[in-house]
Amino acid sequence: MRILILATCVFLFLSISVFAWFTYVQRKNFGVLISQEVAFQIRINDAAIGSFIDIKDLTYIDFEKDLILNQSSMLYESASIHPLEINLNPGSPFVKVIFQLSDIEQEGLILLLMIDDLDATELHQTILTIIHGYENLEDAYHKILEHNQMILDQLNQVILGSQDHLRITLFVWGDYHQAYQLEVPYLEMTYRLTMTIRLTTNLGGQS
Amino acid sequence: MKIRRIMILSLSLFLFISSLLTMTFAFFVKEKIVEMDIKPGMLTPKIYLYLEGVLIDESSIFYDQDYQSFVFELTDSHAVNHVSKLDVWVQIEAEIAFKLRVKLLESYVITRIYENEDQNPTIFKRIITIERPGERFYEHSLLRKGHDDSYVYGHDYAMYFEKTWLKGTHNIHLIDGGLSYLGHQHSTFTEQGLLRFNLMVEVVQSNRYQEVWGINLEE
Repeated sequence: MRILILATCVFLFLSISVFAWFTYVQRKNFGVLISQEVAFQIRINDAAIGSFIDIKDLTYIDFEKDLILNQSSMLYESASIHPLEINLNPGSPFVKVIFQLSDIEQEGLILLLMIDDLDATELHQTILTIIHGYENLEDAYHKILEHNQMILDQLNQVILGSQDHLRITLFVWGDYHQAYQLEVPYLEMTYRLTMTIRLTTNLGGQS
Repeated sequence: MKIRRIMILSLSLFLFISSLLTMTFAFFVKEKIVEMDIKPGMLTPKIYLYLEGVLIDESSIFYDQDYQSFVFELTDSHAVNHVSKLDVWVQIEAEIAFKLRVKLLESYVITRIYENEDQNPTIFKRIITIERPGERFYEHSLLRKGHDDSYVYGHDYAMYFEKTWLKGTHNIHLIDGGLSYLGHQHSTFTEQGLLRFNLMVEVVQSNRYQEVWGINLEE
């Protein structure tokens, strides 16, 4: 019985504290929001998307010959390119973007995140800039990973206002040499990325 | 009893406020989670042969099972299988960019028939080499090109197309009819021509063609 009373007291206390916080939030934003809410659209490859995308155009490349040296001059044509656009609806309040992309470091997968659109010439030149001063292939790969993390960090600094949009482009290739060593035959591999896009007015304590 | 009632009441109140909190929080935060499955792209080539617009395959009467090749008439332009009525299309469903090479496997068989008075004709067969009739025709062939794509004629007699096709469905008009073989005319013999025909179509992802085929189209 004592435990029951104690639990009730804890619940009551929690309710009051949450309610106090909730009231505070409402009061602080009443003048700004005017009953508008955060609303946005996401488009990948110029099409509205649901919660799942099936991409079937991965091309395996040789990391050194194709990505670094571009010997075949087919780096751009080999890329699985996915422009992603976030459009904030009219009337939405200013929001902070929280963009997460999980599992970007996977055996057999090369991912490059870019904020700008790149054409065939710019793509290779940009990669050379990213890996500038690399000592070996592993170092070059890590420089690309560091670049991706930098882009993610940049995205998480972005503030969007009503009708603003944010564009990110994903360039994806398969790494032939890494994938060849996997247990699953490389042509039957499925790589999964999970993308989380959260737009917040930063009132929920998000940093 | 009274305590229990208070407890139920407070618990209900807590749950109600909690549900309100979730709704209100959604007002200020929107989240979307998207899962992306990335799979290797494939290339699926298909060859379509038509005679006067009718699709033919290995079950056709114009397919010689013994030689495992198609047979087309070269001299009699009225024949259903005359080479001028041949149309060949290659359809490639590509999920990735690719390069194409094509090899025409042609054998021009000429039969010369000497008519004798004793009704037993003497027959000679020979294989001939074709001089290219013009720019619109393939090398060593009476078959007319159905496209304008440039290619390099390799040492292995395959045609390596310089173009890189991007992902999508591509229909390439490979052969648009052909010329008759006129043959030699003489009072003592007649000639008939047949084309034994096969086709090899290969596609490879665009960045690997040099390693796979051992040719560099950029030189």
